Amino acid sequence: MYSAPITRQSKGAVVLLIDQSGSMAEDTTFNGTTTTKAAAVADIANSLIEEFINRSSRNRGVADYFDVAVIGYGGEQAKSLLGNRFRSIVEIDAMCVPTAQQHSYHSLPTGEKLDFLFHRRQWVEPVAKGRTPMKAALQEAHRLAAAWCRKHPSSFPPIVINITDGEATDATAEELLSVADRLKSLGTDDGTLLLFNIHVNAKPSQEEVVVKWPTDATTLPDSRNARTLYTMASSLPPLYNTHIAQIKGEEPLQVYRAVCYNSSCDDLVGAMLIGSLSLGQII
Amino acid sequence: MLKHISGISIIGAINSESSRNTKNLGRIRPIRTPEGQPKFCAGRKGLLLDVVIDNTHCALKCYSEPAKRTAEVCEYVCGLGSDRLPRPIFYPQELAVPVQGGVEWADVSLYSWVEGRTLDFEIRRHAHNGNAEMLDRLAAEFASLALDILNSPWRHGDLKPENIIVGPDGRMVLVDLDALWAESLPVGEEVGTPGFVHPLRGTAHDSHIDDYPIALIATNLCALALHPDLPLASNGLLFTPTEAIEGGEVFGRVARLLASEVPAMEPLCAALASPHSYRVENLKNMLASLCIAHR
Repeated sequence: MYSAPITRQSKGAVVLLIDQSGSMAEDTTFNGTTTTKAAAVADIANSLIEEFINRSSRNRGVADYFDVAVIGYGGEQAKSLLGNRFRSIVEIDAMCVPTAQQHSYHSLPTGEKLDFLFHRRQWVEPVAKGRTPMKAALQEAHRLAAAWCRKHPSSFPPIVINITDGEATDATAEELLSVADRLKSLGTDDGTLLLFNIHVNAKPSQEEVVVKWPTDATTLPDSRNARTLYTMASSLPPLYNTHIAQIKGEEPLQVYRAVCYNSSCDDLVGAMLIGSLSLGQII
Repeated sequence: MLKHISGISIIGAINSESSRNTKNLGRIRPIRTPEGQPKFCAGRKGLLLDVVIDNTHCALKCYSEPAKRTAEVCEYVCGLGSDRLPRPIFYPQELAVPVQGGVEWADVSLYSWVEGRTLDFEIRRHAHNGNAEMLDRLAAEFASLALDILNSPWRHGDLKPENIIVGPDGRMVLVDLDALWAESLPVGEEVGTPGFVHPLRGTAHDSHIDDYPIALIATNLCALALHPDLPLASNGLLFTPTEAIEGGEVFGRVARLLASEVPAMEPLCAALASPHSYRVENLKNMLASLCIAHR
């Protein structure tokens, strides 16, 4: 289980669920600059999509290794941002989207500053408005993933990464868990769908407990939302253990839960890397 | 800290064209696409970039994780002096790459540039044009390459048309040496590509790991040279190992065609259909017969 390599005959699939509610307009620090959570999350989502394109680049151009869907949820609705279906990574690469040049300055241990240049394509734009219809987003992910699993029965199961800063406003915790359970019951011959919940906090204070990939609920802060996101998330298969244990500085012997709580936007980058790790085994 | 460097970070480092972000190589100038992006392709271990260093065109492999045994492979290949393999130089922790919270030094290896096109490109091109003569030349040169491999103390380990460059003179050179096997080298982790290896290869690393891919590619090229109109499968050849072993329709058709037109191919087809081993006995003799048939 969870061992199918990503090949052109056996593609991978990832669904990003992006909270675009009003609270995402809050300021945060990301990459050493002040920006909104919505802008930071859009930037990180765009980087992840670009990374999938990079991983799929071959001599003859981008090869068809991944299907990607992005669902934004804010206001009264959840909306597919790349069209009303999965898009192949080849289609996404060919999309005409705005590109921004971005400099990033990093210091060497010697103190010397280096300037790195990035061309950022922007498939996802920052949006922050209204309420948090997370249930609707999970239902949309279910619709897309169910069809995908039927079409790709021998592939690695889809990965769904839900990035949020708050609580669902369109469902009770019980309703949300029920929808998440339905989503997690989908899968392929290689395993069931993996649902990641990454909760971002604009500026986690020292008193706020930051939780990354817990093994049980005892380390969670005393918050109904934290417990809900934890319960909704998948238990991760062993292929993630080594990398998570490396981050946590412990022996990789546990079953980790696919949840981070109170993550800074900088932490979100690492969390997305972990989330997409299983889709790195391209052959 | 997760010691994995993303492709985006590597591209960001190469884009900077600074001489200060390398320890030994100096300024790396990427060859760019018409859109202004560095030309590269991705492999399992990182990115392979088309670059100019010191006015010399080379291929630069940047590893996304610390490269295991690459130093030994590079040293071994340079010591061989084989004209079937490009000469690599390994530079550990050479390229400063931006990562979350700082800079990571990525391992790189620098390869002499191999001019030409990949064999999969050439197969598609000549099959599309129905050019039997060029496909026959590819088949003959591949048989010659395969004999050179089998007469060498090393094996490529991930033999597939994408990893074979056909030069302007038609001579074939192998690229992507991460899976290289030799008795004196530490054992690698790579296991070949499913569309080209026998399912029983598993994690085997020995002098027989190239047998099945050689038999597969040689058989396909021979069949295409006779019938360029045969439809190409998902792996860019006519059939996959699974289709051969399970007696798929296209494989059956190819085997029958070859049995009637090139009797020397019959044992190769039988070996491809065998579910029992990734080894192909008597492969050198079969290839030698093929070379004679192509003359």
